[in-house]
Parts: sequence; C-alpha cells; structure tokens
Amino acid sequence: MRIDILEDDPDQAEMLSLWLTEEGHDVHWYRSGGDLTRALHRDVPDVLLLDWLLPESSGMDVLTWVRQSFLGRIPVVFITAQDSEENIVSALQAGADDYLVKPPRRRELIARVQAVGRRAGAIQPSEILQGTEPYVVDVGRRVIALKGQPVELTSKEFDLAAYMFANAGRLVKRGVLLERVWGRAQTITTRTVDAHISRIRKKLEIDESNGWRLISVYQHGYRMEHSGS
Amino acid sequence: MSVSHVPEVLRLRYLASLPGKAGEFEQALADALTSTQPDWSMIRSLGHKLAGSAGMYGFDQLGDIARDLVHMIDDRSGPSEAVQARTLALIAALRRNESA
Repeated sequence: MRIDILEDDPDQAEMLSLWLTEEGHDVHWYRSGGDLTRALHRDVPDVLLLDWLLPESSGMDVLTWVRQSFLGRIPVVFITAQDSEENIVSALQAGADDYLVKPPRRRELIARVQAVGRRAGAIQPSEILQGTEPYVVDVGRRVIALKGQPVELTSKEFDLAAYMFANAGRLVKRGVLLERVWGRAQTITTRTVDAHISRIRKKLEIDESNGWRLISVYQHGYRMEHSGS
Repeated sequence: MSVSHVPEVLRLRYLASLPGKAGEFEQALADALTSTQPDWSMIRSLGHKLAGSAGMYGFDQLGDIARDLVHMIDDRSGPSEAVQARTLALIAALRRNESA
C-alpha cells in the first residue's frame, strides 16, 4: 500500500517509515499539513497516518479537509500523544478510521494500518496456491515471490503466471489463455500470449534450477510442470 | 517496550540527540520563567514530541516523564514550581541517558 505520514518530528517519522517500509509498504513522509495536501493533489495514498499537533495546521484540520475534498473515503489513522477520551472521540467523530496513542507499538501499528487498508479494499486477504514451491503465488494480493523475493510483474503477466501455476501439469491452449487472461472481447492475437509467456519465463526464472518448466506444445499451447515430473 | 525493532544505528543516533534535547528544555525553561506568569507552551511542545518519540527508540522512562509533564501542564494540576521541578527532572533524566 502507499501510506502517507504527516508528522513534524523527524525522529518519529523515521521510525514509523522504517516499520511500515519493512512490511513492504510505500511510505511518503510530510512534515506539514500544507506539504501533505499539495501532495494529495498529485497522488492519492491507500492510507493516511496523521499526527494531531503540528506547527501550522493540525492533523484535525487535514482530516476535515480530506473528508470534504475530492479524496472522499481515504482511510485515516490518527497517531498522537493526545490520549484523552475527549480527543479520541473527537477524531473518530470527525471521520478518522482509527486512533493510536503514542508511542505506538510496532506490531499493533502495522496491524491497525493494514486493517483499515483492508477494510478500504487496498489489501486483499492472502490466498496462496499450494504446491508451487519455491514460488509463492498469492492470488489474493496478486504477488508472486521466488525464494521469498517478490517478482515485479505486470497485471497481465501475473494473471498468466497464476493461471499456469493453478493449472500445473495440464496442457492449456492458447485460446483458453487468451480468454481467461485477456477476455473474449479483446482483439489480441496468440502472438501476444507467446510474448507474455516468454516474459514470465524470464522474470520468474522458470527453469530447471528452480524445479519448473513452462513448455510450449507445438500448435496446441503451454504446459507448466515440475522439471522432475 | 521491546527495542528489538530499533536498528542500533538509529538508537545510537537518538541517544546522541539527547544532549540537544536537554539543552532545548533548559532554554525553554529559562524563557518560561522570565515572566511572573510562566508560559509553558514551549515546554509542552517539546514534552509532547519527546513523549511520542522516546518509547519508539526504547527510552520508555523518558517518554513517561515527558508524558507526565505534558499532562501536568494541560491539567494545570500543580503550581508553577511543580512544573518547573518536573521539567528539571526530565532534563536530569535526559542527561543520565546521554551518559548511559
């Protein structure tokens, strides 16, 4: 997820960024409400993490602006040393989705941020195909990792690779791949399928060293199989 | 709080920043006491930041003292002398950690 942090204290911003980056999130830090609102006109994050007390506009001002602006229902988590019941209730009533009192606990912070992201649809629950080692094919999060390292794929490359892994051992015709990955209405040729197959072979390093083959069956299609089978 | 997720390089950098933070509190205290009606806003702002950051770097006790100070200022729960004493205690704690 992309997470924007509004925090004027570099010490706190650095640690928050570190914790969230370690979890694979794309974190952007802003020191003032003005910097953040200017950035929000360019890129919309999946989750906003707001400090309350800031030198210029407060986190509450930013929250009010966000809720009244074009950004609509972007999830907002307040993280502040303001720990009174009155403050917590005010923030939630103003439209915050969650509230954390400083200093945050690392695992709780990550879990809460991910929970609001999930509720907003930014994170899909994990759904991992079985029997694909050393690959991890997570069709929920749309990520394929090789030996623990996520591999960068385009959306179509992911769809194609996931379909081949899900149908490992079966001959899959090019026409079926066209239909399942690109949809019936698309005017895509089988040459496009071949080009994508070639790219996922290369990007995912599908070869003997990783225990898999993605073989072309002349005039028919492709089959993904364990290289030992 | 566990500090297992604080890289040593960051913890040491935070530790090295404590003398500077102590100096900021000393200056803010001196400024606050220049008038007969002390203005604690700068002390409160510094305390608020310290309450937020100290625990994240494993300095829980510093964070607790800072939080107490902020509450004391917010609640006006004590005379000026009490806020002054708590600020001095915080400065002393910052100095103790600095030499730890």
